[in-house]
Amino acid sequence: MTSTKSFVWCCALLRRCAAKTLSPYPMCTSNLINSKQLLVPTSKIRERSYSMTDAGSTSFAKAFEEQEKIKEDLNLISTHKVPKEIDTKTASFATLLRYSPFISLGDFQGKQLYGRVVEVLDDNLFIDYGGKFLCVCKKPRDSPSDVGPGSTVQIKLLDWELSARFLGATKDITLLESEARIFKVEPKVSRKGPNPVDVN
Amino acid sequence: MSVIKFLQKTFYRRITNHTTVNLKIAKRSIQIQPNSDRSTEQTLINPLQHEDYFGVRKLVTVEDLFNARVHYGHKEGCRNQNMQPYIFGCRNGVDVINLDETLEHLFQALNFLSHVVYADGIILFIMHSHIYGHAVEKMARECGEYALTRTYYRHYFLTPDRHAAKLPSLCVFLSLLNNVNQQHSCISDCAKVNIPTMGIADTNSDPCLVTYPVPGNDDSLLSIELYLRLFETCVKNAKQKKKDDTAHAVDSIEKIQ
Repeated sequence: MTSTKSFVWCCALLRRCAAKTLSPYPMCTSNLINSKQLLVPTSKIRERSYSMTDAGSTSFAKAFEEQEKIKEDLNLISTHKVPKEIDTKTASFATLLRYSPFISLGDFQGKQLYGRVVEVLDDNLFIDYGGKFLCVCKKPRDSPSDVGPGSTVQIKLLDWELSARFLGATKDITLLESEARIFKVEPKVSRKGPNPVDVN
Repeated sequence: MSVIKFLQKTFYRRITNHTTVNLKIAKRSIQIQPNSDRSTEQTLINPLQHEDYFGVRKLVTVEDLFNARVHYGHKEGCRNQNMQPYIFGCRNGVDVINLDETLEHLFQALNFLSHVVYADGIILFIMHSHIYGHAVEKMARECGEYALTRTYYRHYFLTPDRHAAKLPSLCVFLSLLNNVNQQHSCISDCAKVNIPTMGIADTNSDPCLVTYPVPGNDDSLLSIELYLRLFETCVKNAKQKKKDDTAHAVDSIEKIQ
């Protein structure tokens, strides 16, 4: 019991230290992921780019147009199929949940998602990917210099919530954070310009 | 001024300190008898006789709650057993809160909040969180009420200085837990001094001692902003309604006289 209590106090202390250094202004909602962009896996986007090259489009102009379309679709698509007869305004909670990205995502472990940076503190990025908590990741060394609130990143989600049952405890202790690994910080370029598709 | 005081004393019971608010009893006891001697127009308004006097049911839908991520709960290991009736299910270890329940509880809570504000009650918004404390304080200041976003000490409510301090009429908790994820001690103290409470109960919180619990997410910014917006709207609407009703009643009485 004492070990868990001391762990809880340690966490509180760490959070208090972090809070003192965090900016006093509330986080801007506009930096959070739009509801339509929630939990968008990056794998779907890469699949599209491979199919484009397989189709054998030789002209550069055609390829450029496809790239633009993919970027536009990013803002509109959901990875799941919502039946047309579902009216979200009058649907019950069960229906909304059934056709939500949360369910269609499946197992969170290892999923690659798009996230948006909400806050930057030293070399830490606080990223919102549409989940309950933000994930905190170290800024990659090769990231562009203008990374700030509003930048898009690609992350690999490792844990929805960092919580564990410690020895002797009746309930889990939670850190109120997600765990993820950044594998790309996207540069801030205009939508019209060509963007190289990530080939991993 | 005297007409207004007369109205306040006769048609609407002031909710003051150490008075338990029981809406069901109030509904039975307050009955409007239209006076046959005077004009048939009812000059005295009793909001308690209306199902939804403040139009609280039009403020939010299940879709709004869904988009604000109110249905996300903690992991199943963090679950408090008393939250079990409000949990829809558990997906990949993550508890999902039933928003149909949330909506109904939210309407009850907002309706009660509006009635308390209408009766000139003092609201205290409580949220012991480093991240959202400023947002709660800002909202409370904007709607003319009070906020407590720092450490709560027992002597605040249990041994108040009667000449200096006044206890709130209602405590609204944006989260039932304090900064170390323990049950906020103010909840039990409110129960001890008969102050009704209202609170957002996440899956790791205990809703038992809260008068009007609202199951929902208390960790995401979108959810907290939704709750703050709703509370602010309700408080402001209730205050405006009070002004309008008092003015209307004064006019009506002056017409009769």
